[in-house]
Amino acid sequence: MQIGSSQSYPSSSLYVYADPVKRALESYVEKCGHSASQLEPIINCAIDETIESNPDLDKTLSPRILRERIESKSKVYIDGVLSKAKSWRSCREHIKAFSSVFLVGAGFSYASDMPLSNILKAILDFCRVTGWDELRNDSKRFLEFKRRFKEICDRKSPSNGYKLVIANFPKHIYEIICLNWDDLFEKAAKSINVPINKQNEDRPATSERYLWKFHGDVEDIREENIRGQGGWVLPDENGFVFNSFREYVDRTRLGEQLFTFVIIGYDEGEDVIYQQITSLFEQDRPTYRIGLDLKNLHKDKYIVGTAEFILNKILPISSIDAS
Amino acid sequence: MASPIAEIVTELAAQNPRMTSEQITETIISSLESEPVISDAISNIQVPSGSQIELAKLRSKRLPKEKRTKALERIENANFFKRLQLMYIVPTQDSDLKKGIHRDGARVGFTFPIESSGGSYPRLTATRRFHIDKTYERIQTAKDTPKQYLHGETTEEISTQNTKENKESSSNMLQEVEEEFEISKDFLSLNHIYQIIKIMEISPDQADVLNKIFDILDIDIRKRNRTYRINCIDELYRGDDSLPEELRVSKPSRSNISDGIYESLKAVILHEYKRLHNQYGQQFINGQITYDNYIQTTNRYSVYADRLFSELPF
Repeated sequence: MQIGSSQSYPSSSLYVYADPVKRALESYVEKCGHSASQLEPIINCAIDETIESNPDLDKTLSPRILRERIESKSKVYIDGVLSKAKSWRSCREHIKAFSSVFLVGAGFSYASDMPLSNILKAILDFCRVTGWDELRNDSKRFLEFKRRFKEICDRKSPSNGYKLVIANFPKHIYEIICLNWDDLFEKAAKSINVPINKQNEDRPATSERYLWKFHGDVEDIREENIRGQGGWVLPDENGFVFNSFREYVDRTRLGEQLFTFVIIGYDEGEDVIYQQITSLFEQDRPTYRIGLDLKNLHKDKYIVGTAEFILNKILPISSIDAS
Repeated sequence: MASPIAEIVTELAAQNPRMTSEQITETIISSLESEPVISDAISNIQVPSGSQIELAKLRSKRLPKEKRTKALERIENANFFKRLQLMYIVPTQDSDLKKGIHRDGARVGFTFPIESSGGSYPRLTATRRFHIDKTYERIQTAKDTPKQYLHGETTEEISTQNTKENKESSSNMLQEVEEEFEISKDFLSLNHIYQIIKIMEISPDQADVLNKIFDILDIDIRKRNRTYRINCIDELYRGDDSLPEELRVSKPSRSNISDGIYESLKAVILHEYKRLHNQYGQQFINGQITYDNYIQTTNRYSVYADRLFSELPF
């Protein structure tokens, strides 16, 4: 018998293992004293990442080794997430001590079932446009796109993560910079009766402590798409920051204050946001990133986990007062 | 020395400036591993020793520019083949320290990295194919093509001689596994499993050998069950009911001892793979190794484990 001979298995069979592995991991998470439902996105992400990471290798592995590989690797991710207690504590202490500024990206809306950029293509198709370029150049279709997106938002409720951020605003979170079009923060604020100042267009910010929406707002849909005047910034663009925000930072001396900078659910792919916000705020300040990029599991200041799961570990107000 | 492989290396390096020379060599090895002819050719290439290379480097300094460039190219090629041989042929630095398995006058190379005392793997060699023992190949093929392999000896002579040799060598190999297993007070490694599989191939019907193997595996499985509070045999079949039939682990007939051994071997392979994966996973989580390192290492272990696993019948 020739040792080392390998058989090729159909690639579609890889997902056959997802369910049994998921059940095993859920049971493992519960045994560790955590809620499997809160960690479900992490479990899914870990399994997907494992299955997608090396399909060529996986196709050659025998079923039992393959299943063990998927399960072991996913479990390492879960272990990594759960072993971050020290980072959670440190982030919480930093927020308590210095308060914070939150920069929120699309990943934060995942738990509220909002479509992420890979799913948005279906809305483009529905509006009969082939891509972001075509949408940008066709104001009629762009308007239709916005309305469709609003219809989706109207059916969504804010997750507990949104409510927790609002509950900590403005005492422990000075500013919320939201790069999403949706109105989940606004809905969360309404649901727990917290008034918020919202800045969704580029006009002078005369008060303090804002929810900033540089990239557009589903509550303010306009026919013309002009940046800074209610216009939406699309996922293939480089981001946008209001001039009034820069003036606000100067006026309030936010740029000179010590606070904890928290970036959550944001892939940091937009140059403008990096240059005008991230690089400025993370310099010399405690900065934490929260997301699902499992490759960063070993980094101290990268907290892997869903917003739902992590926020009540790191925010000083970690539960919502029902009254 | 300047062979097409060396040209491929240069091209790879030019196309992937971020690849280290080790990564390039690994890439080449992975592509060559399915070609035994090439592996044999590489093992036969005469490479100058380290001191000869150093001397050539010194001498090259005195040469005129054009000749020096050529000399340096040759030195680079020699270095490359040296690295290639080390990665392809010599399994681990520790394997030299371990007792080799000598049979038919030839050293049987370990194909798995042997864990060092500190629990680390000095070099990973397992992306390469297994070295099939030449004696074994000869025995297997002797009946069909005696002249080609036996050089004048009769089939009966060589069979009798080899049966004796096999008995001796399988006992020796087994004794070695047993000793290492007892000394290490650890679990059986994938390397041990490989040796046991070889013993099973050589002596499929020697009751005393099989009994001893069964005992060793039984002790190992008990140790694992106790340490990790799991039943390794149950683990082997866990979750199979939720998988399509063709993906389930087939069960042994339990009609004879070797089937029981094969089942235990599968359970041990699976658990050892899981244990190693977890060990490297923890190192990644603790920041001791990089993500890439973790992925590469565990990918290799899945390949080793899979190769062993698919060697076993039923």
